Amino acid sequence: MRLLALLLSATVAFAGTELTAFRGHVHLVAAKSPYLVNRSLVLSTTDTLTVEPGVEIRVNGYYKLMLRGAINILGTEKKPVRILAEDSTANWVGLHLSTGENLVQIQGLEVRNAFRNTFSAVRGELRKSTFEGNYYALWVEDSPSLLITECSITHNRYGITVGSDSLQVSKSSLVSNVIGVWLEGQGKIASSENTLGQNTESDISTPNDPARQGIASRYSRRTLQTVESRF
Amino acid sequence: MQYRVVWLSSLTLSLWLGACDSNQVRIAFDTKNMTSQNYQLESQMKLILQDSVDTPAALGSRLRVLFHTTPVVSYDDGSARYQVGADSVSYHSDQRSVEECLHVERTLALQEFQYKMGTNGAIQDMRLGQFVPDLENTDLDLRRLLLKVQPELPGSSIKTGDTWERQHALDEGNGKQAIVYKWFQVEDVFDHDHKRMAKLRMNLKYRVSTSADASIQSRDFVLGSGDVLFNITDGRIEDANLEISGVLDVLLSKTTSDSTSMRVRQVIRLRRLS
Repeated sequence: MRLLALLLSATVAFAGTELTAFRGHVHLVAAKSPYLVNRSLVLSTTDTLTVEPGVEIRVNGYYKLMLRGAINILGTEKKPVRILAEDSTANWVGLHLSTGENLVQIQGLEVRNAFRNTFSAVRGELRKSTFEGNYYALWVEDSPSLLITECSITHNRYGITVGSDSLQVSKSSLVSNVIGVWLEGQGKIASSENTLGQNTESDISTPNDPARQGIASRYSRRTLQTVESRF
Repeated sequence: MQYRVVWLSSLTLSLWLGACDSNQVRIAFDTKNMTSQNYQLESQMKLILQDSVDTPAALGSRLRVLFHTTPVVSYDDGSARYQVGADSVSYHSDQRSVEECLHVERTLALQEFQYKMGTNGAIQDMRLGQFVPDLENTDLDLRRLLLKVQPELPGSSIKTGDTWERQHALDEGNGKQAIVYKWFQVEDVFDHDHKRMAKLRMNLKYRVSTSADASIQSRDFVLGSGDVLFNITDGRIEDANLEISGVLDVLLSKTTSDSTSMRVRQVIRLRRLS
């Protein structure tokens, strides 16, 4: 009896699918969910990713999901697509989208516990999605053709960070973050019908804010960090 | 008598030539020894604004990595492939938050890569492990630090005072590479603890140019100077120190062409632990 209980518990411990690589046309289905990620994964520019409603991806360690191919994430209000750390007390690195000419269609996505979710040179749409409990919920660069709409960005350290170029955000809620919107040196935000408030430190902030005046206020921290990395 | 003078002169000359030959040593990395080595690498960096000499540094950071190199395979041409992995990382920066510093530590701790090295120390084909994605512009790269301090040996016998030059590529990302020019001089050859050692002077220079969002360019060559303590008996580095400095022009805004310059100083130390 004890042996049976032990065997059962071992089976129940993880009933899902280990995701070991992204290759070709990747199609994640709810029937095989949750998917467990035990290493960083890369979707190349010629691969595609389609994720059905109700899929959950759990990242088991400090890993990154780097996505360069075309993306279709089709979560719904009742069956969102969730990406979060396997250990709810730990972080994972985050999503890194750098899709270039490949189109991104994301809706009904929930992302939690990431250090930074980066959208770099992305075109497409991020709709009805939730980013909660991340350090940098959304870090966006060089993505003027990305539309963020009807999203909820809450309880993060930084809500939306715009590193460069402009970003379109509409009908979204950025509340209860530490900093709602952070605009790096050249970043701009084209905002429409958003709810922006109750952010602990500031709703919108830049490195040149009077409250942040200091020796290095002329330079964004990211610039200094890039110099350190590239020297 | 004349015969004795000639004989003594020949003997003296032979002894003198023999003494000169014994100062010639051949230094090379031992790529046949298949045991792991443990190292400590430290890097300290200061960015100083050029606006005013009175302002304190804009960025100060300190990195310490304990890592190991493990031989993977030895080739017939004398070269070998090595795997490098970090065992422990400690990082602090006054321009990164606690969480950002933790992120740097974690990404470095997970960084594994391999490279091929010849007996002269020339490193080729240095690449991250299969499942490690590209680094972001603000991530630190252990490979870059190691390539800077790595000496390249001449492949022939040398003696105190000899010099040679080498150059190698430094990956800048996005398919770009910088060429690093290195100059070496044998400062001393001596015995220590039953091992034959060589102290090498190493100078280097390279240009920084990146297309990252901040658009960073070195105004002239970045210059470095340091020394390497090479264990001739065992064919490995025991200690290496390098101090690098240069002035970088940083484009802050493409629209307004606002730019500034900053002096960057980096001190790297590599030490073999076991």
